[in-house]
Amino acid sequence: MTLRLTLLAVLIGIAALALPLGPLLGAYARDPDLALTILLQLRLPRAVLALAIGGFLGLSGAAMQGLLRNPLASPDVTGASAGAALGAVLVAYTLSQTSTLALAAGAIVGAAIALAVLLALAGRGATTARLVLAGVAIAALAGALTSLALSLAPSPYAIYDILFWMMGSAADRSLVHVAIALPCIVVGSVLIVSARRGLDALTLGEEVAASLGHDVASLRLRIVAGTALGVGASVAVAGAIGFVGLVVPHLIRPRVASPGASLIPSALGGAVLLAAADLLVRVPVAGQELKLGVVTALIGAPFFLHLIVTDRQP
Amino acid sequence: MILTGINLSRPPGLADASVVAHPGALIGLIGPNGAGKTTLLRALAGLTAGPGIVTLDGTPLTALPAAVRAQRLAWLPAGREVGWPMRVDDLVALGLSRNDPPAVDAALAAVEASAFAARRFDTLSTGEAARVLLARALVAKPQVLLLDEPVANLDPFYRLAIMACLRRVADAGAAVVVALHDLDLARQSCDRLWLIDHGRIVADDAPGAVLSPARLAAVFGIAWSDGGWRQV
Amino acid sequence: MRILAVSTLIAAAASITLVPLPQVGGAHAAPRRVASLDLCSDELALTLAAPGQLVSVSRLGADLRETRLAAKAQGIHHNSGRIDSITGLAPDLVLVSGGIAGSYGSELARRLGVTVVTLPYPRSIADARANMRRAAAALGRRAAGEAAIARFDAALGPVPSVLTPALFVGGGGVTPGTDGLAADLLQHAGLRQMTGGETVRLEALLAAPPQVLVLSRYHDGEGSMNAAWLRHLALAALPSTMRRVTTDGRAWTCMGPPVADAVARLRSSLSGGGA
Repeated sequence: MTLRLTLLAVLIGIAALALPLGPLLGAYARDPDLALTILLQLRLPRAVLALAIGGFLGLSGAAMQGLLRNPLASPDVTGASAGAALGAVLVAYTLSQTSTLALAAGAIVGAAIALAVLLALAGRGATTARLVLAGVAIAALAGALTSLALSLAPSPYAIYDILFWMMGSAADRSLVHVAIALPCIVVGSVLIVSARRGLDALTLGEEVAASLGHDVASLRLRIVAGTALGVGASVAVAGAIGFVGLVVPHLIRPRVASPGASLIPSALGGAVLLAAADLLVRVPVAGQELKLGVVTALIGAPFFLHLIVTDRQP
Repeated sequence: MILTGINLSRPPGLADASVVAHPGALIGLIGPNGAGKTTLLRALAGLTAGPGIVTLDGTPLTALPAAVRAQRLAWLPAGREVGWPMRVDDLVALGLSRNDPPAVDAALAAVEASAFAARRFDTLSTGEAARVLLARALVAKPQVLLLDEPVANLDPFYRLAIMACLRRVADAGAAVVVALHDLDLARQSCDRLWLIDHGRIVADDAPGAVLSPARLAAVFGIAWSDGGWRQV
Repeated sequence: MRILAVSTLIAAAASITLVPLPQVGGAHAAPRRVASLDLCSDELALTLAAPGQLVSVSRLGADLRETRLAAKAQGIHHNSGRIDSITGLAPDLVLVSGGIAGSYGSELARRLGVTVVTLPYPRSIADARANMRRAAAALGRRAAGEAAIARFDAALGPVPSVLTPALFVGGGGVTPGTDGLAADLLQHAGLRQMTGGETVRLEALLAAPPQVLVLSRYHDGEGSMNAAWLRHLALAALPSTMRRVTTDGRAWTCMGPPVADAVARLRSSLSGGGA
């Protein structure tokens, strides 16, 4: 499965560079340098970000579901994405620090705070209901504060950006965004993947994991910090994209042996899903590009419902 | 393994308790609900930093590296929930720090679970699940085995099967401490019983001596008469 | 044409109820306490009113980020854009461009005995002139109005016989249409808007770069995706054969009196070779 998903991700990545062909060919006919600029400055960042962010959302969703032993945990349901968006918006719109680095820092702090509040509210091994309620409350609060910050921002354009921050988009991103986001995503992924064996032990409960020699506090810290880092950087450059982190681990779950074994396939699945969604949004609807979160929800929600209906133990 | 100075009662009890679990002993931990059996087992496993000191072969448990402790001591909680529908053999392998399929096979054989090694945990019956989780605790061949109600919700056949398995583990040289509610099973299976009441160990002796009518009446509020247990 | 303008701030220009001009016959009394309720009427009032005649402008009209005329609005009361916020000033004339908050506002104005003059959002250069004339008449400043129109026309200058194909674009890739007031004004700078009326994608811009790119700078140092668009690396990668000029985006929000100077500067930066 890992091999097939990798191939699929590579294929979609190539498609993301090539499609649509029209502007590329048009630019090439005019001046090959222009075609190269489109490829390097516009399509490459977009393809890399869609793959990397999708991958990270899948990875962190799988890790959080394992850590919290809760099938509904994911960056969006726990409020981490909404917290990251709030952090980025406060930095960029309220403090007028517009560098991508400052945005990423704000988003990482926002995601970390949201996760810390969630863990404080819902506690360890919390029931699904409690975790989801806390996550929904945090996400709603962060979303409301984001809207408020955008409404009060000095820039009259700010209010139009609500859709970007709430639904996400990889359009018109540049190599600067890649240069800031990718290292954070890589470090976050390494932190999470380093917790792989501990996640397996956690299926037996935190105390058994501890009795098996796993440092559960460090495990939790690595996953939460890794998620905050990666989700923060992702949201800072592409907004809060929902559903990938929730749905993909569920698609992978029946096909792998353990939570730790689900990490890499979930990352690949997330990369494939988001990059495919980003290909779809390039087809303009009524002259507008759809936001990524709209498409991931349009694909993801029915899939998820199907899963709930057909799987006896979702 | 020596446990000293642990005082589980809130408010503080009278005297420091000190218990010793020797290699090869199968020790039953008995007491009424809420007496502190689970708390004592968790303290012995080093999961709670109590006021007492738990030593393993003379070394304080807290001074042992986590990996060494995990290899020498295994703890099996009462709950049987597993967060992922894993394959049985993968689940048992979680008890090992390295890849060792023969050890997994041996542990599954020891609990007579080899037949469903390849099944998913969520397809097992309660009796099968209990034996698989026990295999997980046994797989690293620990010197000390601490088990919290491993026979709860099992039918008489599997209760006896699990106690027989624990006897084999003790005979092989491990110290086994098992919390039990079934006093008859405890009397018939264990070398020694620790009776715990209100957070204190009130008896530490051979089963016959611990389960005296006076103690049973005082601690459990029951007495044996007319071929059955009665409330007193 | 929602494009360059901050559409929410200008309110719906389409639903305008024209209020008859005050009869300036008889006593010929010019209004002495004039309030303006939105950015576009602010620009006209700040251009045309006599010293001391204007008692209130909208919050935006006093904001230098929105109009360079805001410098003249310092020391004047700032209103919220609703008629309620100026009743305490006892105005005798209220200028608006988009209407006054529906029937409630009209009713309030009637009860207060305030004359409301609507200066509709211009759709042509003639509209822009007519607005100046209309505002001047309402203010009792006909002479100042004619002078302002003369300055406006002088700054615009004639439309050159040869026009260069160009793309006028603001943050986020928003463009004005190929016909309409912005396109007409660009002609006075010697430019013909090639495409427009919708959002231009960076990719489309790179695939077919215009001969001249006019970047409209407006709130561009601030945090917003639109402003970030203007900083995108790909814009810097456009071929050097393309002329790139910038214009003060504030003037293009209302396309009122200040826009003529913006057109003149655009023309001179194109002919002067500077960008």
